[in-house]
Amino acid sequence: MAYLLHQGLEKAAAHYPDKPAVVFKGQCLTYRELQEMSSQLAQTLRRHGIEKGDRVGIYLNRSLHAVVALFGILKAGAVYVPIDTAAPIKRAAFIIENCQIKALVSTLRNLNDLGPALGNASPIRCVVLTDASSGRVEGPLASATPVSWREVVDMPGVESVDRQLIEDDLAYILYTSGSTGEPKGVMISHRAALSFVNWAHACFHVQATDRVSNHAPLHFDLSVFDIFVTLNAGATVILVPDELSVFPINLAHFIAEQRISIWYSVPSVLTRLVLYGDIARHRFADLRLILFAGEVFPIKYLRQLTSLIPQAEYYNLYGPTETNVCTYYAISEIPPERVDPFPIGQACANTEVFALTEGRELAAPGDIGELYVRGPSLMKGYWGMPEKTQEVLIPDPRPSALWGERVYRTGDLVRLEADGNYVFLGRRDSMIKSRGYRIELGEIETVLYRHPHIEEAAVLAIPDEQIGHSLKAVVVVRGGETLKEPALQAFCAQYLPKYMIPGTIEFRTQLPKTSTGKVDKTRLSHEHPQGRR
Amino acid sequence: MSIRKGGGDKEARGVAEEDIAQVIKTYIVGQFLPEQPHAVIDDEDQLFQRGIIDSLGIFMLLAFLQERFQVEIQPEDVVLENFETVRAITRLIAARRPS
Repeated sequence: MAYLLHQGLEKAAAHYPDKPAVVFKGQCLTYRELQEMSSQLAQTLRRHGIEKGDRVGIYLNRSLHAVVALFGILKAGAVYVPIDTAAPIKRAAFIIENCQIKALVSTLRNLNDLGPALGNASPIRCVVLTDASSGRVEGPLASATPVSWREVVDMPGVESVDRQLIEDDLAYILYTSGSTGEPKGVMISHRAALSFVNWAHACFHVQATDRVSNHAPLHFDLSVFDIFVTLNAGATVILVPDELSVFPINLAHFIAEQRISIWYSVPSVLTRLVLYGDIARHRFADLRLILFAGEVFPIKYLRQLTSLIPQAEYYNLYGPTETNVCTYYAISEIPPERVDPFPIGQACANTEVFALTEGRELAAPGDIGELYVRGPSLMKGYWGMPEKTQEVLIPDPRPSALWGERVYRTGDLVRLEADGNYVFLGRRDSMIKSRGYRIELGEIETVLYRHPHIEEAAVLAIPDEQIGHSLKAVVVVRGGETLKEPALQAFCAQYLPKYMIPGTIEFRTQLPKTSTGKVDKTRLSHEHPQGRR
Repeated sequence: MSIRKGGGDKEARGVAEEDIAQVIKTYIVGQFLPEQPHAVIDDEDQLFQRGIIDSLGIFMLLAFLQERFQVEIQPEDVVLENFETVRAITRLIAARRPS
């Protein structure tokens, strides 16, 4: 029985050795090739001193190699850590330092871009280069052992399931926005990932004949479905080239031409397809299932999508990175008068969800409360942050709880409907979603305060129907200094990914304050109630 | 910077296209590569494949191009083929400009 995340591939490779496992831009890896190459990478990592539990970073653009790296790292018994190559190098360097990445799979170009951000005490001992380039690694990484891809593929690809690896060991760490200004590493075990993968595989009847899109980047947890559910099922995962995602007309054509049968993305991508993709031109005859997660799908665009692609089934999936997907809802007919978004639904198999009201009572139908999740899919905690972990992984607070079992406190406010479905209402704290990305407004404010000329700063999330929220900063510049919007945005870009940079910055002489002297964000946001609707 | 300078018809067009390309490059470096103010972009660099511009950036780029060059870019023009490189964008702008 499979109890490790990568064991599904071994089984599928035995069944379908010559079937395409991963397709990208006209290139393909068969199951046999993926199985063999990832075993070779595992051997290579082992030979260079990577041991069980070591963190190995993946600093690659979307590619076949990146998928090989995922499995190679897992097979070596190590923990994969995908690092966004589009994010500022300072953020990448933070992650490398934070979880002490010992080896990095990357390209020469990416490494040499990253170099200047790393300190001389970088924890990286070994770099695996997936490109054939013969140049030298420079900067602080010059002391790491370089391993060429040729060396990898010359390794014997023997199978070696590590008998010492158990389902509680970590499979991967995904970094998400943290309110104190630094990203948090969510630690996911093999068991947690696999319980989601197994549920999704069964729930959506993923077949070997399916062609599944991979739109999300690897550092975004939607990719766990795309890669692992697909390859567990012996199906084919089609990596969506990032440049196509920018152009809805091209993306629509790609989905049709590649005969995608299962699509999974954040709703804002689908909204853009509806608005700008000219999708009425295509039939999408193979598209049988459209899954979305990460944010609320505005009903008017979902309605247009379902009428343009009527044969597909639609599901709303819900779950923070810390729990994997924990609830789901099958979209049925959408009555023309409906304006409310659909519920996040009910718990997945082997998962329990419940809501507690403000009075700490178990929510009854009609009540509003905070959502809690219990089950094997929960994270182990945040890397190196025991206190943060204890704030969210708490002993089951219900009177019926028999022992101190941990449940995850989501911070999401929900309403329980009479039919047992939960409806997402908003957040308890200042975390928001934009284009499906989780953003802690405090993280942006911390960066703004780092600027020597900034005296006060507040970041507001302005509701926007197409992307969830847009970001606006309101700042006060120190007396005698001058600062313009582009300069401050450029400053933010050194520390924050693009989706976290405020699109507009307003300069004021002072910010409104509450009676306790804090910036009055409620008042500020009431001054900016209107977004794109 | 003038984008319509003198000379014969043929020559004027050539010079103008060079200028368009330069204006676009300056904008892209300033707007999308704030970390690297000295970055140099070639006419053939893949702007989207390399992630220099993403789905947030395309709207800003479109607004800039329409404003700066006084052209109208139709929704059906917004495809990768017209935007993947500075050369492609320059070609699109030249084609959409009133002659």
